[in-house]
Amino acid sequence: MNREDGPLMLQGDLTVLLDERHPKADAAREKLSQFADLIKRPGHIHTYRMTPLSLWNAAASQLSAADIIAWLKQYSRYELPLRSISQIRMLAERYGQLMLERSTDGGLLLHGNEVLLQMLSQQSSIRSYLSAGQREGQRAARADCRGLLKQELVRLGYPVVDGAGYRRGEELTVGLRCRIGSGSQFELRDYQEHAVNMFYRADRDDGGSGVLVLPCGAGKTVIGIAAIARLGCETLILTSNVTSVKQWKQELIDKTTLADHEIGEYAASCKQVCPVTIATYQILTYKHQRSDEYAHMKLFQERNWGLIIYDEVHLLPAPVFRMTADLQATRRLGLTATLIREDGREEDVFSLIGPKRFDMPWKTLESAGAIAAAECFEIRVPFAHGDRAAYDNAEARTKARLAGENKEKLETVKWLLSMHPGRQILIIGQYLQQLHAAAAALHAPLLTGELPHQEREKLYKRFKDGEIEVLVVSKVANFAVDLPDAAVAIQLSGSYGSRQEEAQRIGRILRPKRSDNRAWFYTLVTEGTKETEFARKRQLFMLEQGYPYDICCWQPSIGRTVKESPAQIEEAAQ
Amino acid sequence: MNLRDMIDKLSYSQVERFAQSTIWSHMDLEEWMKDSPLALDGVHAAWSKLSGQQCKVLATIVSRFGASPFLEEQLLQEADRGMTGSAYRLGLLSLAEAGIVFIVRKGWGERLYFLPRDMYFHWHRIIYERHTGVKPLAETAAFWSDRVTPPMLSLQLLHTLAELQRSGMKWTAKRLLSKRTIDRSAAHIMIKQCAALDLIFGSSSSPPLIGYPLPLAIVLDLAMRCHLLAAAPAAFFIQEKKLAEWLRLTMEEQEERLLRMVMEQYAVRCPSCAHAAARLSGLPMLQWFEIEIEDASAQHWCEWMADMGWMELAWSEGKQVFRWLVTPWPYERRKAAASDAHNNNQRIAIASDGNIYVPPYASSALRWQMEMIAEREQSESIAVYRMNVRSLKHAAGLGYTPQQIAELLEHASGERLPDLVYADLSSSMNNDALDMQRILNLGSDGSEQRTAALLHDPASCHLYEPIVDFPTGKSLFQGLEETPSNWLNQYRNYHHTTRRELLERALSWRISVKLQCGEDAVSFVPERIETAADGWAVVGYTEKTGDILHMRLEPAMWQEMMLEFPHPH
Repeated sequence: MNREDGPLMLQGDLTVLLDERHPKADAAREKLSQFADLIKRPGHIHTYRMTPLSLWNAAASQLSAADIIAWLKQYSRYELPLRSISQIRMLAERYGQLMLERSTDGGLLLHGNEVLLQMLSQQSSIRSYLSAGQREGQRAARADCRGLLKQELVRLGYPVVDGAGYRRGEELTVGLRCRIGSGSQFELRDYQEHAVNMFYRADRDDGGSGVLVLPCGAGKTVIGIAAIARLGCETLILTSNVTSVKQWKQELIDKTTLADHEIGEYAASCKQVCPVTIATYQILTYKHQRSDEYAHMKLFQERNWGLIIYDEVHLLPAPVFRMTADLQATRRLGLTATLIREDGREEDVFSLIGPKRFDMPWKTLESAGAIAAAECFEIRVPFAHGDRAAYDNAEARTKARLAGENKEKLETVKWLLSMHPGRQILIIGQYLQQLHAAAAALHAPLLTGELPHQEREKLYKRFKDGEIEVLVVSKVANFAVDLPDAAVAIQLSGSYGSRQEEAQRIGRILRPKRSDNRAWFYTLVTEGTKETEFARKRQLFMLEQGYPYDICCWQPSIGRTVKESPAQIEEAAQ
Repeated sequence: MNLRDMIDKLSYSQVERFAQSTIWSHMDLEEWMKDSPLALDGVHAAWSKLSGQQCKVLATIVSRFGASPFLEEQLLQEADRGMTGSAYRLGLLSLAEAGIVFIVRKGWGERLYFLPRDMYFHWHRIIYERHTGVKPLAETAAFWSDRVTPPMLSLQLLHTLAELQRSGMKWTAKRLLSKRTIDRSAAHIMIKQCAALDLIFGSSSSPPLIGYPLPLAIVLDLAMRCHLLAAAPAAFFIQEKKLAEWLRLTMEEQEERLLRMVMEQYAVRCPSCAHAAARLSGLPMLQWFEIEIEDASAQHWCEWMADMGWMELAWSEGKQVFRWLVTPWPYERRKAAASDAHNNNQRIAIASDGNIYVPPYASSALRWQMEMIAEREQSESIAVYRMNVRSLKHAAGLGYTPQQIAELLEHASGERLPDLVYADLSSSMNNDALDMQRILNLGSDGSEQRTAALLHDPASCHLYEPIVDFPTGKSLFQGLEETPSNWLNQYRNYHHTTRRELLERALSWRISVKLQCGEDAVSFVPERIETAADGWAVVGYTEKTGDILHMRLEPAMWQEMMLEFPHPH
């Protein structure tokens, strides 16, 4: 095997390792991100993977297999495995072999190599969608099966370039404001503008549908709003929960010329259908009884939507996928922080929503100052005096709670608050009893699910306005809550090993700050308990995104943390 | 049997006799005695000194028997027409006198001849230098492959030994490893049951006979032949000292030793595999060659080599192609590799999520330690390891402390261990590590040990005794003393009965006769005498301008005749 001095190492399974310390790493990364997905980036070895989808996405951007192989060779440390080269060539060259176009009579035509079409036509899963074409290399496709056909072909390993176009939808004039409600100036950041362009793909038949991947705090909502303004059409926005519905509406009113009556909320409590309608996935998939139809799916047909936005597209439920298959003539925009789905249905996102059009890693945004520079700490706290024995003697299922509710953590929190005077601080926890105790001890307001929505919003507002510096919150704050000025998050306790929860909580503090654009995340775990293991699991996602955790130990006798980490908290908090 | 095996069985004076043959006059005695096998250039020079007759005999042995023992009669059956049997016999004898071919006997059995296995590959390389049977491909050719390139055999061996260390090496009542250990160990081996294995090991390789899946048996066999693994009364055990020596070798050196063993221990058992192994071993590394579709033996050999991670197979324009990934000639005289320990190519990288990346040029010693403390999650070009509770428990059992592991990883990576990894390491390991000596000394306390191989070698040197009293050239011609001298010296006309006697003598000595047929004097090689009611005839052949002419001659068809007695070397 030849040895070269490159930053990339390609494995036989199409995984690519990037040595970040290498002088050519930046150049290699820039190329790599065009045809491989960043899987994780803990420390200086970052892992990318080329998948059929990533290679098709690259091919959609006019990158050829030869280009990709040449770049890999240029930056590779070792000789490229022949199997990988063969696979790259085979997969990338599949993109563009099949084209879907509109026929003169309004039907659909699938074009491709005749041998390939013959092979595919024999597949039982798509046989019924295709019929003989007028000439060799062409098949007539059923227009009502446009989505299903694309979905099945992707499953068979053959992506289709969909150039059959979209309907315009009902026109709606939407302008972006130059100055927002708070009086400050508003304009799209460069990467936001770029993301919208990548989605819209002016003058391209296959533009107007796809997915944009951006981290929390990068302004995905703003990009969605800019897409609505660019297309100027009635839009259906689907998102993950009611809080998020309200946030979308608030942002639309704040940043566009849309009036309140033009924006409808469609959730359990309120079902308005307006030119721009924001609905939750839950309401769309709601069934009174198991055997019932999805009553609210009719929303897709209630107006002549020109655009559907799928917020948090990685959470898109299966029934909505099925519905989306029938909506291929409508432009579709997916927004997410990660394309990785727990159910492995990334291919459906590709075939039904569209290819990935834009991707920006968290750390890149941090370097650009678009999100705050966050530091993460794990603080190991010993049990308060006498509680260790109780833990040791407890049953397994109560141990997690005892460790989570360790009273000594409160002392640690007090010390941390003293380290960050004048900062907006969130204290997040799992157990209500512990949160009540914390709120009382710190004289801070408490926000939990027990509080009515209106009260919660008031508290959020006071926190945003800076009236409150410390807010104690339960897990209700996990999802889509916009707390722009939180600079410090202290996690008192968390649910077992949820990576998503950890990411969401850190996401709360990543939004750019007005002052020094720094943020701190502390997770408190009880030393010598299962909680350290759970914490380790929770941290994986952030580690993979390039956020290392410094480990510190709480010393009750001196009332501060010690060692273990080169970066002392006191130093870091300056 | 290798040249060294034979030298070890012979006395100094016997070996000295071989070395002093004029064929080896370009080499000094010490060189001949110590170098085994002899250097390729020395063998090349010897080849140029062989007579045409000797070359032909040696080439026949190489192509027909490889390194397998054979009887003189078998050689004569394989002999090409155009050279008499006596010439073959004398040629064989002269090769034995020069220490090229050796003569042995198995028990009370017949006299057997053979080429030492290592020397077989040398002679083959010289004889077939320009006839490898494969065509090189242009550098611009495009290749395609969906084959996974497995780790090279040295790594498969290391992973298997590490698994044995982890899973335990005790035998069951059937004197085999436990089913669980077999399954776990076999999972590290990428060798598949293939045509080459069928040809080499035949039906005796079926699991019921050897107790293990053949690929695992091969790896265990190689480990035992390398003295890394030995058998105690009720278990295998790893020979720590030998293993430490092995781990100090570079990967190239390990592959070279293993390839040589595979060629000399396994390939030679099947002449077609030996021939394929020998002719492909002279090719340059990393250059692509095309395999002819009808060249089944090369295809079989390449498939096996690819399973060992030594060769890469692919397709190019519909043709099967291959290239060596290691030096295919395992007899290179290389200088000791310069130690480039801890240069950037060998450094491991440790990510804060606990992944440990081990580069392809990491030392074997480091890889072994990684196997002892962490679990391998990926065995691609860059191996990926992770430490977990189970692996660290095993490490603790071997005597590793968290501090030792941290130091090992920091030394190997040249960097401070990430905090989270260190924290995990500390919390996962109990500090009550066992005494390392107790573990490592297992089996090396002088108790009964066997380091024999696992797979039976049908041509093992232990089965044969060398014969050093060579027959003289004349002794090959029984009845020479009683033969009338004019039969040998005078070209005369004889009575038909005497003509038949001369021919019978020529047949028993496998020599030719000179016959005057009309105007022409021909050298005729008799093959048999046919007797009929009205007389007899001799069937044989003669060579005319390179062509063999078959003839059936009745005694009246020639006039003068004489025996053509060959002159022994």
